[in-house]
Amino acid sequence: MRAWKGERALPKAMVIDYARCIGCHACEAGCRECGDHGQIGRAYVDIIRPDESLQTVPTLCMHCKDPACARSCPTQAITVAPDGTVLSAQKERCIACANCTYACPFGIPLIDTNAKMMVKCDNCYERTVRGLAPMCASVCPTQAIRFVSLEHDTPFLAGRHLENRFDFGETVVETHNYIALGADPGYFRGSHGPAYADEPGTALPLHAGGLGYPRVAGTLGFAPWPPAAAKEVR
Amino acid sequence: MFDPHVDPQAGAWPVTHGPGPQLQRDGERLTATHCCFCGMQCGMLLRTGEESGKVVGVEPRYDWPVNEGRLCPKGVLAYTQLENEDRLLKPLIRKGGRQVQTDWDDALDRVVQGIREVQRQHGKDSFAVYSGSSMTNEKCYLAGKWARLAVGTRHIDYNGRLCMSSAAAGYNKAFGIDRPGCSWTDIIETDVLLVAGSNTPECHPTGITYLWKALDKGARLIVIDPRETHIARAAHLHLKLRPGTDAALSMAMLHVLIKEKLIDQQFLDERTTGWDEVAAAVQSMDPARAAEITGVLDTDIIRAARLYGKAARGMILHARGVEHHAHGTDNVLALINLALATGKVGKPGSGIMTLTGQGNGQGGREHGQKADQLPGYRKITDPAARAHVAEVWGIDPEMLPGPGYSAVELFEAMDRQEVRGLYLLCSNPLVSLPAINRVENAIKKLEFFACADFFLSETARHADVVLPVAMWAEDEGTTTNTEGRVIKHNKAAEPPEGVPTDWQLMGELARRLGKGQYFPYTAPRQIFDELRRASRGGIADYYGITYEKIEAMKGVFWPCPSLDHPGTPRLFSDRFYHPDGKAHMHVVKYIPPAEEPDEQYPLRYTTGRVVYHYLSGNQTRRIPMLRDLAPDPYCEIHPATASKYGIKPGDFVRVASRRGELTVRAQVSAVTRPDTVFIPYHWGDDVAANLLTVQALDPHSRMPELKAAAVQISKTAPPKQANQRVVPYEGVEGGAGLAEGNGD
Repeated sequence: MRAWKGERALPKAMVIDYARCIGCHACEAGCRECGDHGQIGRAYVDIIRPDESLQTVPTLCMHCKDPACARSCPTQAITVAPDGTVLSAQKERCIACANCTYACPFGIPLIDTNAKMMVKCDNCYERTVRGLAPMCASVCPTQAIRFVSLEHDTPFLAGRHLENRFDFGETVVETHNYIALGADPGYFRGSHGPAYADEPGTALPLHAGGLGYPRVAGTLGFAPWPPAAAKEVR
Repeated sequence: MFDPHVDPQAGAWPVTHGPGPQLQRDGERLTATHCCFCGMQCGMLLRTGEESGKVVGVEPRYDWPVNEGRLCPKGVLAYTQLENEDRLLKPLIRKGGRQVQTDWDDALDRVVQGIREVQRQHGKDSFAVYSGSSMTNEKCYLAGKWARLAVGTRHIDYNGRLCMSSAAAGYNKAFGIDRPGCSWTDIIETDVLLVAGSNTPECHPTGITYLWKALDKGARLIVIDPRETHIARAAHLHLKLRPGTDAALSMAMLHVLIKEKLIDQQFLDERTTGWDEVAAAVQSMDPARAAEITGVLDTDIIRAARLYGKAARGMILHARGVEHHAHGTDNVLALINLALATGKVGKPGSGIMTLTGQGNGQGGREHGQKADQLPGYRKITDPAARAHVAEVWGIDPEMLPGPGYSAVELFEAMDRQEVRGLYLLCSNPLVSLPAINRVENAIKKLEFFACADFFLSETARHADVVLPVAMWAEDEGTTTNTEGRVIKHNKAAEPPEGVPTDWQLMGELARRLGKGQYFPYTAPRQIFDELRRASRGGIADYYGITYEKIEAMKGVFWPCPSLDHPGTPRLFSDRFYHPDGKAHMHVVKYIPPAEEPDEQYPLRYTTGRVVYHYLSGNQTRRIPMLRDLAPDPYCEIHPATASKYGIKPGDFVRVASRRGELTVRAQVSAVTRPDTVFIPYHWGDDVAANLLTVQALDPHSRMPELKAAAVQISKTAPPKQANQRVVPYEGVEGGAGLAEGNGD
């Protein structure tokens, strides 16, 4: 791993928009292609309710500002880069104890049982230090995962609320990566919803909670809708 | 002299990632090329190890304007096919019921002998060639020339009949040219999108971003599909119609447009013919009647018509869902009538576009591997066209055979033993053709069957001789994407030792058939230069396109009639391609699908793709990650229907039609309609979705009705044997390399 010489934060942020995910696993296939990833995918895609809809959900490391994985690591194998990227475990330090797996609120770190060490998303550090988008965001065919500059008011950002604070009851986790929530209820209507274009409806987006998705919907389910404390975007 | 095509939205919409650099690692070189799969033909960079010479990975190609680096999982993993353990490396011949390895000389001699013997006994036309559109323009062009000159048969057709030939027939009838008049970037500028019969996210994954961009800018999305696909879920209006009733829906929308005066009379008067007859024909198709036929609420049909009619700019995207029908051409014409009636053609942000499913579906149907066609979209029955092509090929026009049978008819001719020999390349009809049992019978009756492929497909297993060929990244050449943009594939690796490309193989076979003088090529560029001359003056005119121009302009849109011509990204802005310059509107009548559900077969059956697999799956089923993501086909059943039949999720169900039956797992989901079941078609053998489909053909395009049949379902016990995804061959050691004169 080449060291990151700059001291500034990443100029762009990862934004995940569930409404656009088609569940194709291109993020996972792309993740394997990243040079540092040793053909092990660190992005996960789940179909949340197959009997009802094709809705799928991509899950990446959210890169917490105060990462529980790194704090819980007994050997300090998980380092945080100056730009805030929470890196994967260092080979020479990791003892595969899985503390990080249990600590992570998003269920991201996995134990590679062959290599006896933890692997997790590092936002493709070898790419981001060169100003390139991570592989998942590069290849995502539907732009459900994007690496965007939050300073540019693109039409994409204008139509959405970005969330990077997740309330787990007693703990609030703030992350470097964002989830995009559709601001316009007509933008998508959820499965079998009543909303039509000429009759603006009130259907909630699918991911607004209560769908039994174990990893992300559980966390988002606690987020008020519309979010009470709307996060100001930089 | 030429600048790249400029994205008209570049100013208003910042490019996501590019144009930017890419990551180049030490000891590797990057080859700018394209994906081998669907009609998007996404740009990609292949990473080749400098020492090993092997492709080791893929890098996003951010500066390719169509996909800006984006790839679907098939695209990311495409390179892994090159080193796949199932790759055929030596020719196979049939010996005592088994296929065993042999040397090239022996295999090629057998093919030549097979062709000669069949033709000596039963005449020139008793030997047929069946080709495909998943290869370069150079190879598609050569397949047509090779069949007609080297083999000397009139029977050459290709799997494009299963791809979009109904769209081609509709566009030719209405516009006088078979090409979408608009490009992907038009979608961003539109106000309303009507997507009919296209599972765009799964079949053209990287194209879907254009739809999302349009929605971000406030466009409205109407989806016409029997299934709630990913875009149907995101749509403002989803018309979940019965499969096969598309024409009724489009006619009712036109009915509403007329009634509510949402038509563009000036456009109709100035630029079209036949409007009065079309308007009269939809009078009887009011929304209430259409609602009865289609199963869609009449209020929804009215909503859809208003949304589309009131918008200043509107686009229609359509694909196999409307085209794979015995009346597919009518379905396409009915959609074209909507676009013409509202004047939404030939303007920025407006148009009608068929989304080509095959990699080179567009180019593959332009240069003469179609039974009735010569290069440049010329008709083989036109004396002037024959004279032009004969001159380019250096032959007497008399030597050119006449039109042959279309794909399904060709296999029917094998069944009645009118055709007794077959050379198959770039296709796997035992997965892709309808009513597979009948196709298999036909193939078993062949006296000689040779097949060129890089994997042993379901069909290749029946061949007397199997000839291994190089894969896409091991050769160069052009393809034409779904927009009509001619692009260049580049070579990233050498083929395995001794394995030729399809064009080298056809050249060597021609030499052995005594026609080598017509196939003197040593590089794809020579074939392309000949194609340019053969297409010159035709509808699909490639004369002004060169390899260098393609690289400089990031693809060139045909027609491009001269070297100083910039290509034609947008058609129809001032004229249509009929001699009178007008668009011809055609009266459409609603005719139900060939087979309607009845008491014995009560459910409607439809087929389609999943995002993980491409066409017959012969390639993608061998890529481990894709195979793991979608290992087997399934039957999608609505929960209400499932409960009626006592079927639970994951149960095995027997699905049967009048043509055959299969047993797959049930996927109980409200994605489909209660009266419709769906099975993806990428698998062969005893779980091939096309065991059940009907052989009814569209009268204009000869496209089979793959999207509507009648079936019965019942819960059943698990099958004894799991689906055989891949059957290895029992080879023997030995065999020499490629025969002299056939190498690189």
